[in-house]
Amino acid sequence: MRRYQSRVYSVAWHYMRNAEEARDLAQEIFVRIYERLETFRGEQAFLPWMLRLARNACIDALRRRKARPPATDVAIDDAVQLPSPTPTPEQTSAARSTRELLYRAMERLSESDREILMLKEIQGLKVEEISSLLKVPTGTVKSRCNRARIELAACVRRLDPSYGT
Amino acid sequence: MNCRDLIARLDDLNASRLRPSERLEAEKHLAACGECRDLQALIAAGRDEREIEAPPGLLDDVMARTSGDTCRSAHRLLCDHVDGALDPVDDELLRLHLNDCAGCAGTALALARLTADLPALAVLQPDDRFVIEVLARTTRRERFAIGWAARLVAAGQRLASGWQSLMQRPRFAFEGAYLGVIFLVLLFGIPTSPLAGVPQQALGLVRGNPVAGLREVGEEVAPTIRITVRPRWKEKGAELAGAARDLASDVARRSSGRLDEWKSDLGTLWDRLTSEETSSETNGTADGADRREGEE
Repeated sequence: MRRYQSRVYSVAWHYMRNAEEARDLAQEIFVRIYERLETFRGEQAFLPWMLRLARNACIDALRRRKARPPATDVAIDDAVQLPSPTPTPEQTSAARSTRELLYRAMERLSESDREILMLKEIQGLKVEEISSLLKVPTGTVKSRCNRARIELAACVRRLDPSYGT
Repeated sequence: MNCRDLIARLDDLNASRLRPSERLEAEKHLAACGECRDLQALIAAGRDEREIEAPPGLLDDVMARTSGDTCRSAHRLLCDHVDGALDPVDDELLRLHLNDCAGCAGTALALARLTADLPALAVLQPDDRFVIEVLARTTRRERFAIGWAARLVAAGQRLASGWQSLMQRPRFAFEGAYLGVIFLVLLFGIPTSPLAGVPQQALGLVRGNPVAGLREVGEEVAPTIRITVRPRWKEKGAELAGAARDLASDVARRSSGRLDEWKSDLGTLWDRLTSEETSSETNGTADGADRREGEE
């Protein structure tokens, strides 16, 4: 659990955009994983299986959230802890500001763009795995991912024109 | 020379770059063909007019009508370009576009940076309570048992430490004696206690004659013992005597037979020994006489 807790929490955070809800959801995801470990077949990779469970739990949580008023958003600085301290304070600060910029840009994307980016670019799943997860053809996964990347790049450039230069 | 050959060489004809033989053939064809003559005159007139600049955006308009919006087309290729998955021809065309389009070039740079930055978002560290809370939800029974075991151990440790501190107090012996007395009084001194009569009975037993008491008890028990034990004793004694007699007769019978055998064996052996001794004495006397006769 210690090995995957950061990934699961990250997935929950990307879906929920709220630290407290992400935390509760990550717990829920781990409970689901614990309850369904017997259904995991050894020959398949664990990470896609776990992310599939996490995604389903996140979608369930989003559905539940639609039925009640939204929770108060928490500032990104308060919500996010860097996974490991970087060597120097300057690097830590730069990483934090980049992370914050990316989160702000991703908030401007649609849910589907955010999801495909989270699965492919952030969590590093293969196109075939995402295709199986989302039940769409691999070509659609590629085109959606490319479109989302372009959209994210444009959003980031609007927020910070010096990004990438 | 036909019309097609003339049109292919028309620029060279106007620029006087044809060889004399080709020029003669071209002039012969122009003299015979009116259309080629008009075309040659038109081209020769156009060479004298100054060049007119194309209107701005003409190239983009033409490209939009032939291959769509260039930036949109470039966006379709940008991700593969950044990932290095674009074929060389498209990659070169895209580079040409990026050289002229600042917007697409900036997007390409941002995409390249995103490729490096996005994987860092894969992990987010939850706070320290997270693991404990998940474990509490997934391993409730074990935690319940572990929790109770921990409580029991802690209580035992507290008890042991309390006892140690109690024992180290100076008045511990006095307090222990006091508590012991109270305990004994509660146990034996209250009339309603179940052990209230025990001290009186113990006292009476100590004050009476224990030997006389035992004798009385012995006299009561002795007839019963005699009635029960004596017949059994007699019966067992008779059985033992019979078995001893049988054993003795058996031993005597077996030993007498064996003794007779030994006696006969001994007699035979004695007879043999005596007969051998007699014969050796007789032979010895005869040998001495023979030796004396030989000497003589």
